[in-house]
Amino acid sequence: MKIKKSAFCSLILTFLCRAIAELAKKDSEIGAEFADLPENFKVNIGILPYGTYIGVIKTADGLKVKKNGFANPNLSVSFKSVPSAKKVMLAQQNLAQSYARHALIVGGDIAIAMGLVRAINKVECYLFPRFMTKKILPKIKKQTSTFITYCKITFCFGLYKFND
Amino acid sequence: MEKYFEFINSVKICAGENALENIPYELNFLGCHTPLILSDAGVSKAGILDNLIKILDSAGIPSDKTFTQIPADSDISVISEIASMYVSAGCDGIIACGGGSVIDTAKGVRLVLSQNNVDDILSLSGNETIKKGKHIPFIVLPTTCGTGSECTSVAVIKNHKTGVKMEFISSELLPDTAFIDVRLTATLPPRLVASSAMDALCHCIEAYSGIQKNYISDSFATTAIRLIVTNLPIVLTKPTDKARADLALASTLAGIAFSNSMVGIVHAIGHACGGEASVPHGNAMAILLPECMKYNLPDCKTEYGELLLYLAGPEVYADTPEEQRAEATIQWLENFEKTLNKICGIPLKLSDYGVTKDIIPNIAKKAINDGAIIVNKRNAGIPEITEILNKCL
Repeated sequence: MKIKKSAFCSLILTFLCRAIAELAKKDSEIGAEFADLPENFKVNIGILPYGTYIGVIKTADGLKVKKNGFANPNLSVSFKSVPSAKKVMLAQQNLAQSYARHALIVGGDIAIAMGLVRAINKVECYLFPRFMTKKILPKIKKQTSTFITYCKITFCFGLYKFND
Repeated sequence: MEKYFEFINSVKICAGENALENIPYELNFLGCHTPLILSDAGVSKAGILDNLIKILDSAGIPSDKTFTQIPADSDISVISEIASMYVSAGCDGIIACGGGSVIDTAKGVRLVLSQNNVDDILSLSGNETIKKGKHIPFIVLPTTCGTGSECTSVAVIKNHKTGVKMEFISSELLPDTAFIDVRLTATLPPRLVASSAMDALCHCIEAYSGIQKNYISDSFATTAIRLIVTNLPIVLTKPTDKARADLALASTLAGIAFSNSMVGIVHAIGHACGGEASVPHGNAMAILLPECMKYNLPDCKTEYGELLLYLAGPEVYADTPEEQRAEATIQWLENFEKTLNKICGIPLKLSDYGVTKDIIPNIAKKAINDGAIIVNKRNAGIPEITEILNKCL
């Protein structure tokens, strides 16, 4: 059961992080949320209690995704449980609601986490059809196609090799 | 099913007549025999510490370990200095006597000590990530009636060298005991009383209308609102000990409410105004509150309507049609602030603090990254915050 749940967490986190990295290049508003971060800024997004993490690092070539996360991230955002992560990943709850219900813990600068929250909210608007997100997220003007985004993050995405 | 919520307030509150005289008992109860007393120059000059020292001396508790030079913004280098002093002086507990910066500094010192003298306190910043540490007895004597910091699990600590201000949110920051005694706020000038009470009122309103609200925090917020609107005019015009004591208690109750429900857009913009234009926090709250409520109105109509009962009283509430109560609440607050302005000159515009149109973009950019914005019921971005700020100029 533990392996199954851990694999599920890893899968949805990888998908989300790939979407963040891809859309940061294509959507100027999402990209702007990472623009002020210094190069090599490392973010872990994870799900407890198994400690499944996926990392995102800012490089000169944009955001890159790293399997299993970083050992010493600058910012770490974790869901306390699998059900609480599922609610966000399945667009039943936005990140602000998740934070308000103590489902989300943040290690590092909360001000930077706010930018990540806004970015993830916009990314979710790309990943889910409007009928799923209209109750939890404001409508955004998409700057790229959802279909192309799905294809890129599913088939054309290499994980970043990084010596932490 | 009711949405999930958490509520914590582990602080023992010792409030009312002769509360300070119980400090020796509470110190002993916590196992503290050599306290380190933390304060600032203003509190020390006002003679508030003298009372405390007399009480400690009469109980045979050493009162000579003191640090009274805490700056207006808590700072990591000061925290390190005090933590070293604590260890070298052989102290076994902390007494913080002062306003928000003294209490936040004390929270920082206690954090460093309880987490085994962690090298970089900023590495502990964040939300709910600090693990249970060693117990350091910690009591707080708040000398303002606004921050409520004596009962909050929040601290803001600055690194003045880098200019970075970090936020810590953890139940590990909650003190053991808070003393609410009228002698602690007796020397506060009226204008400071008004602005700090408006800060407390803002804590209540934001706690009651944010997305993290819950039934328990609502009860603290509404009780605090009644105490503030009833007692603040009395304290400003014909002060009585009872009114002062109730106002101080209201600030504590408001602190408990917002520590569990968090604050919202008013605080997000207010923090940014403080950072960019040095607008005093309480005054920023008073200036921004009505305009921010107008912005939130479409999403907070029910909550604001309910608040009319606690702000204006049952007669006004009953006489106001349900669909007009939210607007009436905002109107009532605007009139209340105008009255305060007439009594003690509390400012009603940001321009009174030199805020101009050209720094509004900086304030708005900072405000959207403030942790408080996330629990505001209505989403707000830079354009919306800019509009609010323009209306408050």
